[in-house]
Amino acid sequence: MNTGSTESTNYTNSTNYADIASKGLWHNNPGLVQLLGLCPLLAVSNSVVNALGLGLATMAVLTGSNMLVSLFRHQVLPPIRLPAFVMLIAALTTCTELVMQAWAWELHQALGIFIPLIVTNCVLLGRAEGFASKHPPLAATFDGLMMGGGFLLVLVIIGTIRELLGTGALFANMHQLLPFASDWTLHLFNPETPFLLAILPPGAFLVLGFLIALKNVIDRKLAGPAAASEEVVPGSKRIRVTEQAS
Amino acid sequence: MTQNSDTLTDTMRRHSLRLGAFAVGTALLLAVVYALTKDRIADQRLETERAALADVFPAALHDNDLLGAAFTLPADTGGFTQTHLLGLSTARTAYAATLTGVGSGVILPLETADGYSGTIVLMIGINAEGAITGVRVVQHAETPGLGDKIDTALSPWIRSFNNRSLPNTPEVLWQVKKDGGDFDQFVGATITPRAVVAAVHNALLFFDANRERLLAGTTP
Repeated sequence: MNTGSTESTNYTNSTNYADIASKGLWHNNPGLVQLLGLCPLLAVSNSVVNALGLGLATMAVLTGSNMLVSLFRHQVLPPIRLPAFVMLIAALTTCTELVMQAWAWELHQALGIFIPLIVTNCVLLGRAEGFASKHPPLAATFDGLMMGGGFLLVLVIIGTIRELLGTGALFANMHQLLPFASDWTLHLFNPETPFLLAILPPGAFLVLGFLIALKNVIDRKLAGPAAASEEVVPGSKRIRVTEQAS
Repeated sequence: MTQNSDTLTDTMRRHSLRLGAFAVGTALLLAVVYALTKDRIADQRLETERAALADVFPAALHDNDLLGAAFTLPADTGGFTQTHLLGLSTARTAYAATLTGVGSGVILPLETADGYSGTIVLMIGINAEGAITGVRVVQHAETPGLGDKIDTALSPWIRSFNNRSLPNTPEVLWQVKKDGGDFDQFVGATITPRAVVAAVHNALLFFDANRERLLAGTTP
C-alpha cells in the first residue's frame, strides 16, 4: 500500500501546478513525446472541426477519469485497480458519447467510431495508473486537464495544417461543434487540384513527424549551445508514460 | 492451510464486493446520463432524417409525414417489378409522398457498386411527373479530393440531376460528357460520376416501370 507514498506526500505539501502544466502541454506531451493515442490522432486530424471535437471529448474523459480515480484511490485496492479504472473510463466515454449525440449530433456522426475508441486511448489508463492513483483530486484533475490539453493542442495543430494544405480552407463545418458558427469557413486559397497527400492518412504521419522534429529542435535550442553540440543517442529513452518507475 | 485458504477466500470476497460496488456505481452514472439525454437524442435522429428527406423532396410537394409513410425495398418486392434496377444489396427504406391524399412522388433508396471504391448509397426523390426533385449521397468511400465531389458538402455537382426526367433527357444523354452524355465528370475522376449517373438513370427506369403502384397514394 505504500506505492508512491513518498511522491504523493511531496505533492500534497506543495503541488507544483506549473510543473504539471509544462509536462502535459510540452515536456511529456501525449501526442509528441509519449506518442500515445496515435490512432485517433492520425485518423481524425483531417480538419479543424474534427480535431477539435475529438480533442475536447478526449480532454473531458481524461479530466473526469483522473478526478474520479483520484477520489476513489484509497477504496480501489491494487489487485482490482485495472478493471475498476477501465470500467470508469468506459462509463465516462459512453457518457461523453451520449452527450455528443444529444448536443452535437452531426459532429458525432462525422467522428463515428473514434468517440467510443477513446476508451482504448492509452493516455487515459496511463494517467489513471501513473498519476491520478497517487495524487490528490485537485492535482489529478489538473493533470487530466493539462494532458488532455496537450493532446487537444497537437490534434488541432495537425488538423489545421492538413485542412489548409488539403482543401485551401480552414474551419469548414464549424457549425457541427458550435451551432452559431455557421459561416466560419475561411477560404485562404483555391487549389486547382487539392494537395491530396495532406488529407489522406500518410499526410497525418508526415505532419506528426515534422511536429515532433520541430519540438526536438526547439528543445535543443532552449537547452543552450552546450546541449546542442551533444551527441544524439539513438533510441526512445525520453519517452516516459508513467511519471515514476516504481 | 485452513487459515490460508480462509484468508484467500476472504480477500477474494472483499475484492469482488468492492469491484461489484464499483460496477453498480458506474452503471448508475450511465443510467442517469442515458435518461437525461434519451429524448434529445431521439429528437436529433428524427430531425436529421427529416432534413435528409427534405433535401431530396421539397416540402411544398407533400403534406404527409414522410417518416410515417416509409416502406421497405426490396425485402417485400410485393407488386414491384424490376427491383434489381435499384441495385440494393440489402433491404432499404423508401418513402411515399402524398398531397391531399393523392400520390405526389416517392423517395427511393439506390446503390451502385460501380464506383471507384466500395458501394455508393444514394437517395433519390421523384415527383408524380417522373422528374427528379433531388439526389443525395447517403454513404460512400470514394477517394477524398477526387471522387468525393458527389457529396453536396464539396461540390454542387449532384444537383445537376434536379428536374431531369426520362422524357426531357434521352437515353443516350444519361452518361458523363466524356462518354457523349449530358453530365460533367470530375477532374481526375470519371468512374465515380459515371456510376452515379447510371444508378440515377436506373432509378428513373424503376419508377417508370412501377409508377402506378408508387403513386397509389397509400403506403404500398
